[in-house]
Amino acid sequence: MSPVLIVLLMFLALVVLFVLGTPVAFALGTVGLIFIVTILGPAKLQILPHAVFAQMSGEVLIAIPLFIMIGSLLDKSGIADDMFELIYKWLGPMPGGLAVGTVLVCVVIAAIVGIVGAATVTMGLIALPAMLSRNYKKEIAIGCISGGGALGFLIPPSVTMIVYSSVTGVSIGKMFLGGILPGLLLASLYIIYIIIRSFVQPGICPAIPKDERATWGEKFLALKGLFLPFLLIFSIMGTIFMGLATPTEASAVGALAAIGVVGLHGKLSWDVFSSSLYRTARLGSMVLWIIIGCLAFSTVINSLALPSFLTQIIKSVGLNPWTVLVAMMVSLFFLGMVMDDLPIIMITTPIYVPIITSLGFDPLWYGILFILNMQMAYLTPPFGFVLFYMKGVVPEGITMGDIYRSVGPFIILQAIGLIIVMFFPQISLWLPSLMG
Amino acid sequence: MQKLKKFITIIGSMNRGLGKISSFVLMLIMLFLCYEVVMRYFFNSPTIWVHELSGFSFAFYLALTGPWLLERKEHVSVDIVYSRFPARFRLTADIIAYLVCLTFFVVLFWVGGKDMLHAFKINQHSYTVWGPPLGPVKLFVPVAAVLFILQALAGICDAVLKFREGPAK
Repeated sequence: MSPVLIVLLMFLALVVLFVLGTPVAFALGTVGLIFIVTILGPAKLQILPHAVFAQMSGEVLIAIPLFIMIGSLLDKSGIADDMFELIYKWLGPMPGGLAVGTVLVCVVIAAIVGIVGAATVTMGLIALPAMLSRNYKKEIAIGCISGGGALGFLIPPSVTMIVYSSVTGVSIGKMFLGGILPGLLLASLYIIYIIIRSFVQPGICPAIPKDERATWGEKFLALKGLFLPFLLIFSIMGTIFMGLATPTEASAVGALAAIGVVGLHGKLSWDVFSSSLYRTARLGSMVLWIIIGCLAFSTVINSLALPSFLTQIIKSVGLNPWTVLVAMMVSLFFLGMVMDDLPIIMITTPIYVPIITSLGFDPLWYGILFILNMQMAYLTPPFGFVLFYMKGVVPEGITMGDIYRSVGPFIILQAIGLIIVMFFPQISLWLPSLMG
Repeated sequence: MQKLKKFITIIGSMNRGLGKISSFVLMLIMLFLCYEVVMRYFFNSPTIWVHELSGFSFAFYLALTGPWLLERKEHVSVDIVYSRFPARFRLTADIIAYLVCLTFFVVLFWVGGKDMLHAFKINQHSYTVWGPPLGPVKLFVPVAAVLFILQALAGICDAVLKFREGPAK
C-alpha cells in the first residue's frame, strides 16, 4: 500500500473515532497500534514500552503540570485584583483605558502562567463586571479579555510550546524566547485597535467620571501590585533565560514561589491547596496521556517516511514553498474550528514539520506561526476554549451570540499578527538567535 | 444487576481515591527539583539522583491520575458531533469508545508487563551514576493499564445499565 493511502486510512479511522466521542489520547493510541500490527508487523510493538516509559519518566514534561499549577494557584492569589486596581487608577481616566489595561494585565498573567484559562477566567471575573458597570460596550469588554486571555500560550511559559518542543525536538528555551515578541506584537495590535475604536466612536468605552478618579498618592500606592507578579516572572522566566535553571526546574521554582505568593496574600487554605492540586493533576494528566497515546500513532507516521515522499512531490511539481506554508496555515485554521490545539499538534506536526524543514524553513519559526494560528483556534466558533471559559464567567444576560460577535475583530487582529510574523520571521527568530 | 452496580462504584471510588492521593506527588517532585537548584547554585554540589527520581515519581503520578480522569470522563474528546447525538445513540457510542480504549490498555498491559518482567529478570539498572533498578519503576506501566482496564469495564457496564434502564423512564 502506498504511504499516502495508509495515512488517509489512519485519518479516516481517527475521524470516525473522534466523531463517536472517543478520548483523543486513546483514539490516537489504538489507531496507532492497529496500524503498527498490520503494516509494520507485531514485532514492532516491542519499541512501544520503552517509548511509553521514557515519556512517562522523562524530565522535560514534568514542567507541564507544574506550569498548570502556577496558573491554577494564581486564580486564587489576588494578584490579578491588585493589578486591575493599578490599571483602574492609572488608565481609567482615558477613554478605552480599562480595556487597554485589561490587555496589559493579560500580558503579565501570560508571562506567569502557561495556559489560557487562568487569564480568561480571572479577568472575566474581575475586569468584565468593572468595565460593564462603567458603560463599556460588551463587545469591547468581552473581546479584549478573550483576545488577551489567548495570549497565555503565546507569551512564555507555555504548555503548548512544551508539547510542540517534545514532539519536534526544538529547544524549549528557544521556543519560549521566540514567543515573546510575537506576543507583544499581538497585544500592541489589540491596544491600538481599542484606542482607535474609542476615539472614533466616543461613548463605547467612556473614561471614568472625574470624581471617581484616583489621586497621585493612590496611584503610586497601587504600584505595589506589580511587585509580586514581577517576582514570579523573574523566578520563572528569568531563571530560564539567564541559564540558571532548565525549564523544568524553573517551573518547580515558580510553583513554589506561587504557593508562597498565595500564602502572602493569606489565601492558602488546605482547600485551595488541595483543590488546585486536583485540578492540576486532571489537566496535566490529560495532556500527558495524549502525548503517550500519540507515540503509537507517530511511530507509524514516521516509519512511512510520508514527509519525504510529500516533499518529493512538492519539489517535482515545482510548488512554491510559501504556497505550501500558506496551505498548511489555512488547514490549521480550519482544524482549529473543530479541535483543540493538542490533538492538532499531535496529528499535524509529524507530517508538517519534516516537510517545513526540508523546504528550508526554520521549525522554530513554524512553531511560533503554529501557536499564533492556535490563538485563533481558541477564539473561533463553534469550538473554542476561550469562548467556553468566557461563557462560564460572564454575567447573566450575555449570550453565546454576544461572545461570538465580540471575538470577531480580535480574530482578524490575530490573523494580521500571524501574517506579519510570516513576512518578518525575525520577529520570532531574533531573540532566540541571541541565545546562540 | 446489584453486583454490577457495586462493581462500578468500587472501581470508581478506587480510581478516584488513588488519583486524588497521587495528585500530591507533584509537590514531592517540586521539592526535589527546587532542592537540586539550591544545591547546584548555592552549594555547588548538584545531586546525582534528583532528575531521575523526579522522572520516576512523575511516572507514578501519571499512572494513577490517568484512570481517575477516565472515571471523570475528562480525557478530552472532540465532542462537537457527539454532543448532538440522541441520548441512546450516545450510550452506544460510549460503549464503542470504551472498547477502543480497552484495546489500547490491553496492549499497554501486555507490552508494558513483558518489559517489566524482563527488567526484573535481568536485574536491569539505569545507566547513570546513581543507577537505580528499573524493574520496580517499570511496574507503573502495567499497573496503570490494569486500573485503566478496570475503569473502562466499569464504564461499559454503566453504559449498558443506562441503556437497559432507558426505555423504562
